[in-house]
Amino acid sequence: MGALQLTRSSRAGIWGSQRFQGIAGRTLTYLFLVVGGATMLVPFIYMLSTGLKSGPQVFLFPPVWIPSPLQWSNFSDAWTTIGARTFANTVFFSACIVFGQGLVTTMGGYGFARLKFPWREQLFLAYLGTMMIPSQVTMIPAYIVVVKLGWQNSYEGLIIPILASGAFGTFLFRQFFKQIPEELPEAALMDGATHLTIYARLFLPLSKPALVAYGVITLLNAWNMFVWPLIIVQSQQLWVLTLALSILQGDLGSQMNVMMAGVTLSILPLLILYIFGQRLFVEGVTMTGIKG
Amino acid sequence: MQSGGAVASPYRLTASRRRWRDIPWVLLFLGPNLLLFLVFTAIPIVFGLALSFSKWNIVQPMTFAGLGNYRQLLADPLTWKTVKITLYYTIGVVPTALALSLFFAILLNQRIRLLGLWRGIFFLPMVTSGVAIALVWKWLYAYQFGAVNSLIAFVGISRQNWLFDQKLVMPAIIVVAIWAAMPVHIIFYLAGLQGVPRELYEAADIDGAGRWQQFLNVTWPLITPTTFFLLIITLIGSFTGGFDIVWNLTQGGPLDSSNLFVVQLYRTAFVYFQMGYASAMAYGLFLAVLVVTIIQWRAQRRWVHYN
Repeated sequence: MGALQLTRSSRAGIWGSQRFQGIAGRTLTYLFLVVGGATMLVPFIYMLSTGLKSGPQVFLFPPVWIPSPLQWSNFSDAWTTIGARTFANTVFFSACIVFGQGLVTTMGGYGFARLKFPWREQLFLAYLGTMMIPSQVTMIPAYIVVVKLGWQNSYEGLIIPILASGAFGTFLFRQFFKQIPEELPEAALMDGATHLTIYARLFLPLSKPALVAYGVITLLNAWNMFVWPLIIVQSQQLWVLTLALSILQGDLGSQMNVMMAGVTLSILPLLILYIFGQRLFVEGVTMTGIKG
Repeated sequence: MQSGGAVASPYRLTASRRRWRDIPWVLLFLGPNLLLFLVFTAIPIVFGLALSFSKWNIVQPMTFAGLGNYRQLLADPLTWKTVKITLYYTIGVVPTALALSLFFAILLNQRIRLLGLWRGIFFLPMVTSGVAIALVWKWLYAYQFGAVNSLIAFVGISRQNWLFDQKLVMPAIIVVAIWAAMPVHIIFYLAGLQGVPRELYEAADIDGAGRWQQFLNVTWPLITPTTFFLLIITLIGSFTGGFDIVWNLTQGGPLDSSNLFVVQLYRTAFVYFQMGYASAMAYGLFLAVLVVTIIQWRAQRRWVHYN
């Protein structure tokens, strides 16, 4: 701080021009932010605006950005066309993935970090090795496993193989649990606590921020997942939102307002979560390093 | 002496016993994880490799094909067409997405009003699915009533049939992919920028360095690790990703002009049910990803600065 003041006073001669530069720079900054921000926002605004238009207004060129009257019934039409069951399926699917994967990866992470068994490090290396492999490699044989198990077009087939994609999460929580000082669990073990109590009472609470961040990203991936449902699901009973929208785009092509209302509904839950918890999404991305 | 031995022995005992004592706990903690890993990851990786040496449509019996699938893959003009489109997509998306993200990350790292709101806007596409993004952009690109055509009419360009024109479809898809990739890239660049010590900028200020010189001499070298990391994940991502968006925008059309390698792979496996051939494609993709990543890893010491 002192150094900064010193510079400013010692350069009093060019102070004026520097200040001018500052103002020009700031104006330019805001100009770029407005242009960039508008580009990021326009698709969302167009989606919402189309979703509120009446039939004839959809086919106006140039497009109207603020529809009048606002036709809210598009949203109930979209809800009926997509089907309440599709929404329920998406919630159920996502919840199973988030909690299932949370449980499997944290327990696995605890196992790798705290339990001793032969070939532990070799096995862990095998986990790490598979993370490099593109999903397309495992997708085809995993589908065949699902067929052999008779799980095609079922919740089992939809959910259980996705629970298995937790090698990264296992790695993440293993690293996280390794950082917890050894003395804590050792002391608890001496006092007669079991590994299960240490895991549930000590490690999980201590890693709450990591759990939440990982959970948010897992939710994001599950809610938006497309390829696996596309492969596994055949009947409408098992539709999730992404699949429903993709399939319905043929039927709703002539009713763009209902279509866009449907897309809006599909992203709304995560959008609300995002508005209230932007920080969690950002932490999740920086922690997991991946999305989608 | 005696007391020393008495203290040491229980420790030694625990150490040797611990190797096996934990086994029931290992089964409990790692059992489900390991079972899932075996059935849906480890076994499929091996099985997929075996499958790539055979012909199989699931219904009829599997037949051994040796290197037949790989030979066919190398000989098929469609393979090279889809590879070329994937490279076009990669070259179109990766450098522009990185440059734009860095630019906006620098702006979002300044002291600006309503910082949270600005960041919120720039990160927004992150929460949406590839399907939702594709459907909205499909409507933006619509020939007759789309907003993009209305925008270009402003500058006097006649309307274009973006998604049905063999020349325009890839640029149109690349724009969508860049738009969708921005949030995550910006977040990483912001994290990288926040690691650059303030004093360095102050020092550069004292030396009278302009903004551009500050960028070249301070910012860029210090965030090369972030750029390196992003380059690795975006190159892998552009080789293996893009399916959700392309499938819902064009399904690879018109006339295969947006047919990414992964789109053709999906079609081979789950539309034509050529499981052996599709597995060979998947392993070819894996090889490409591996080679590109190794090259980058080797090249990093030429340009990445670690402190």
